[in-house]
Amino acid sequence: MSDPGQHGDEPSDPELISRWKAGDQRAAAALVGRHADALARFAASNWGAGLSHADIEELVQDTFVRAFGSLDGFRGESSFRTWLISIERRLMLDRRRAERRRPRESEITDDAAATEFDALDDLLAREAAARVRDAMSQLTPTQREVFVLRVNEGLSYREIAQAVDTTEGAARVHYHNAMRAIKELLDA
Amino acid sequence: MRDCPNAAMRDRLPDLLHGRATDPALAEARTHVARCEACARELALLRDVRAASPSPGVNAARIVAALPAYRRPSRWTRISRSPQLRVAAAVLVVAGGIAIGYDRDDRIAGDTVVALAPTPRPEELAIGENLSDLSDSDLRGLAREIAEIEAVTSAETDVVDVPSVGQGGA
Repeated sequence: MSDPGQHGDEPSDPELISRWKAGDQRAAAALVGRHADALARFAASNWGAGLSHADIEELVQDTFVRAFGSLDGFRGESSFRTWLISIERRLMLDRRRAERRRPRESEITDDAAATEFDALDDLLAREAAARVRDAMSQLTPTQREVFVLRVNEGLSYREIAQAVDTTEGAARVHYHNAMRAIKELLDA
Repeated sequence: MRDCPNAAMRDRLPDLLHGRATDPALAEARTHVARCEACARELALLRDVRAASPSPGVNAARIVAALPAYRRPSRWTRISRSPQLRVAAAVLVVAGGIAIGYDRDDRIAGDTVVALAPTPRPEELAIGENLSDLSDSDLRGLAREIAEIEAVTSAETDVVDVPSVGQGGA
């Protein structure tokens, strides 16, 4: 099976990583181009309500900086995208913890709020999409993470388990529970 | 509408969206969906979910510009990360733990012997191999000592027992 995001005869992620280590900056650009959108989608789908577009971009950038700074620690036991998602998830959890300790007044600046509303205008353009998003928002955080990774990114249960630090069986159960909940919410 | 009872096939529906499965598995799933209305509806729902998910574009060039240059790890870092060294370290730790455990067991066993040793056993009171080894004067001295021991024991018994007997008889 090819790496997530890899098309046709494109070099695999491990090949690109080796090239980058050998000094090929184009390999880094290829890896970022292959996975950045998936990381942005994952962030927006799971934590979008509390994040502006700028926040998401910063989170994705921090994820890549962290990943490329410790690429020697990537042992290839999971796919590169799975590894990136697990890093992004940890960064987001750290950010959430820090926000909980910060006074509430400083959480949203005027600029951030305006950007967030602009993004929401785009995201809620269609009513059907809004209903789906509303249903998604009613899932538990873990159900939503698993469902987004399975449906939006096409990760296997094994890859999802590695990304969100759970078991393959638990990931399967979360997925089917989420599917059932969304059907019920949309039928209601 | 009821869900399709074929759980394995329902599990493959997201793979159909992304084409991330072996060709035979994908072909089997496509054939199934073509005949199964429940799975066809579920697949359509998955497409809707995917289409409705926010997809904020990011500036890849800016991210690439922010990436650190690759720094080859130092020789020590490479050595410390080698699997062989990790295995050797693990073996050393386990061996060290076992050795310390044995050492502690020995010391505990030694302490136990010291604690139990003072209890005299009857045979340790023996004066010689045989009473015939003793001279007449030794035997007389021994008889005296035995008599004194018996006297002391008797006196002590009186001290302990007499009051209670006396009280009971009064």
